[in-house]
Amino acid sequence: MPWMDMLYKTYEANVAMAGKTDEKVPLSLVAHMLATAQIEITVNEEGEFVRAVPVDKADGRTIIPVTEKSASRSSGIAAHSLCEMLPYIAGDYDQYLTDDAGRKKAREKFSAYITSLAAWTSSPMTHPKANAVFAYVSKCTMVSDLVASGILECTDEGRFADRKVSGVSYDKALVRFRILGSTPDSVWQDKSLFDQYIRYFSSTQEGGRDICYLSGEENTYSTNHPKGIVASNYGAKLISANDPSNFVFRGRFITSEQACTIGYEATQKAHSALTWLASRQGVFIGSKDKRTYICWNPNGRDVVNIANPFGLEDDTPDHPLTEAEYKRKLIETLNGHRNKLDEADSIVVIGLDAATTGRLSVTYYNELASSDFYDRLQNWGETCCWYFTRFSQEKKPYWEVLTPLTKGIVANAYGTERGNYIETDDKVMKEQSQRIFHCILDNAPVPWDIVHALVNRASNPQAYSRGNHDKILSTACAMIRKYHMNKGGTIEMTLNLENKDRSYLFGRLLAVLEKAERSTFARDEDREPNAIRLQSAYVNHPLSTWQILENQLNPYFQRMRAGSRTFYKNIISEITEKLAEQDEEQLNRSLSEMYLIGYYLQRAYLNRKETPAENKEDVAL
Amino acid sequence: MHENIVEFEVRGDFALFSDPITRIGGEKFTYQIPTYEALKGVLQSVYWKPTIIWHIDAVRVINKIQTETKGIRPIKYSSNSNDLSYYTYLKDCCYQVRAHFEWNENRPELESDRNENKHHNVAKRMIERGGRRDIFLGTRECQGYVAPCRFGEGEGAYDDTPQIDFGVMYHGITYADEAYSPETAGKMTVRLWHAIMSNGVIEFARPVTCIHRPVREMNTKEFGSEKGNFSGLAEFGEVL
Repeated sequence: MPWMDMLYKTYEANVAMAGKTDEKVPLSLVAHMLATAQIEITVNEEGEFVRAVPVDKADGRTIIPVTEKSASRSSGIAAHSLCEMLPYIAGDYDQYLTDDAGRKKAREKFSAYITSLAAWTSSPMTHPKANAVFAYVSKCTMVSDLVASGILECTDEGRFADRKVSGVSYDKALVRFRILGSTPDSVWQDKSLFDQYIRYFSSTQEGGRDICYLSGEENTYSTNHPKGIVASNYGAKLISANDPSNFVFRGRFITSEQACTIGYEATQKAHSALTWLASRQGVFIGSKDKRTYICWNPNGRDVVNIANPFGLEDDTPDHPLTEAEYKRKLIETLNGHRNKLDEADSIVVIGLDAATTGRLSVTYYNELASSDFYDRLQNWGETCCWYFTRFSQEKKPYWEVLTPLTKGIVANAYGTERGNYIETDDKVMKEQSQRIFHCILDNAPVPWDIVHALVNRASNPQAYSRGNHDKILSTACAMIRKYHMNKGGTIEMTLNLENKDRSYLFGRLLAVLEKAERSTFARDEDREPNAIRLQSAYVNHPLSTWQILENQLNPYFQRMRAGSRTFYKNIISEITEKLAEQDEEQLNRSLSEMYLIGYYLQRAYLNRKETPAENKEDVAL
Repeated sequence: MHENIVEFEVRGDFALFSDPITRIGGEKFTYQIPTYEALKGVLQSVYWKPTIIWHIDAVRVINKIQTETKGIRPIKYSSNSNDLSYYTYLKDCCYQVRAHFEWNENRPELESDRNENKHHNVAKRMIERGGRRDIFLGTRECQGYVAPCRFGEGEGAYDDTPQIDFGVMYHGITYADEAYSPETAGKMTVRLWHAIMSNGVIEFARPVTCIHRPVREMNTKEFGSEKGNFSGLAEFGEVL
């Protein structure tokens, strides 16, 4: 059982973190639950009342021992085991009520509570704190003590006033205890008390005993497995066997217990670890219908965030990074993470989703040695990267080498433009992100359909705003490069004048045609040049479309200065010379994805020259 | 070391050795290594007679363990609609297996069939032929192929990995017809064991040494010519 075993091991390794209330969602202990307390009573070791204070909401988080029934109680009577709400825990609560039905219920509640506490304190697994609480509670003076301390208010007839304590009405106020003379004096921070209760609880388990499939030992088994693991699919359970009519587990087995039994302790620990990890390190894909990915190290050490592994999107370096600098920065960032782990450490990635509400399933599971994990991330970062346009603080554009985020790749390939952003349907986002994670983590080759979708989108500049089109173009180039590198080829990130690939050359030509026309625009002229408007036709029939574009370019050539005109015409003739060497019949066929690379690099080259006439000889970027 | 050892290689595009814990919910998740029972099933599909019981000695994992999750629409049993589930399969599996057989002592009526040479030779021939019946890896939709091999030959992905521990795993089910003790007689018993892989090889524990968990009562299937499911070569003149 790969993942459940791993979660159980994670719990055991991190058990020191269990029970800490300062975490947002703490690692919960077996047989304990997190609750909010409103009243705090201090007693001494003999159970005599010392003082009481109301608890501030901010400090109220308390870990309390519970039973299986009391943890999931709704309207019935099921008492917690130590700290409880006033109607359960105060023996004299009923004397302050007005109605008979309420009184009866309060007496029943108290009776349930005191019986269970008596059972615990008379067992060998009791604890001095529990004894002190029992001694105090048995006196049945709690409410009068609280009234005398001014925490609770009552009317002149000796009934409860209609007030609240710490924002909660009296019948829902939870009481917690401090026992003077012990360290720590609080019952919710004393590990020895937790342990004793867990021991007591295991010994009193009613419920069948059978072999636990996780540990291989005989244990009381649990039929109710926890839910609420992932906040977004709250009601979904990972292990559920509630379908007795369909063929889910039936066949050789008649009941679900025959099919599998898991011990109570094992399932509580594994689920508790998962809930804790999900809230702490879970990464959500999708906006409404979410899939959760958790990437963790069983020993609890820090691991990189898988959705944004390089964290470089947030950097604004003082100068844009070239390819070599980017590689170095990548290695540095990842080494920082690598050094936090030992050689023997492994990293586990799990993806959880609910196919139906009620059943959570594991959609992705991978366990990697930490060195493998970071090696693969590094490989991804180095091979799938391209120039992206970013804006500095002064809103000036600059180009930087980046790896597109997984979210970005999927959105640019399959999303639709809404206003300034590209949005993607949740279902598409989830499935495609998983495919890309699979490429990153398992070194799988990039699927062609994603590359193809990006190429198609990038060839349609008119369908998107300038900013979005730029992003799509850069993402497409990054993925094309990665795709080719997977196949063993290489694509350089600098303009290669010797490259004779037909599509590459035509791509360069397109860039020149675009820039030539654009250079004659006035500053506020915002229309698209002919080259862009005819881009889709160009991709399908490059030679014939080029002839059209060349004719359309003549008036713009007239408008240019002689120097610029010569410059552009030189580049065009250099490209056409190379094209003329190729097979004539092939020339007009549709272009492969390489044209985008040629287009981008040529365009970037042209854009970086302020005055083309001066930098004619300079070829390198 | 038994003399009637067979060695073969089984491979398939996908495999699903379902983990019982997630299987009850319907979202099947595979173990990373084949279970004893799954390999025994492969061998039983290759060649089996009620006279023998196959025992798997060891399995060697050749290809790297990779999983793939697929969304499946299984049909509901009681209604005409579909359920949506995610099943996680193993991809590109290749295993070398070493096994041997022993006599099934629960079938004293077949004593005259206990000819070790005969069964061993037929089994070897059937492995060369790829099996008498269809081979599948775990679940029926994972088609597999069997070929003869020498156990230990060739490179495996885990040859250099000293040890990987897989924890407590399902070993198999002891059905009443293959019972070997008073506790297992007349019952269906689930076996669990602790799986460890050393240098790519997993040495299976013998069924009798596993953790046993009786599940329910069951009857032995009886074979006999009077039952109409056993001919004992009567049509060839020889009668057992």
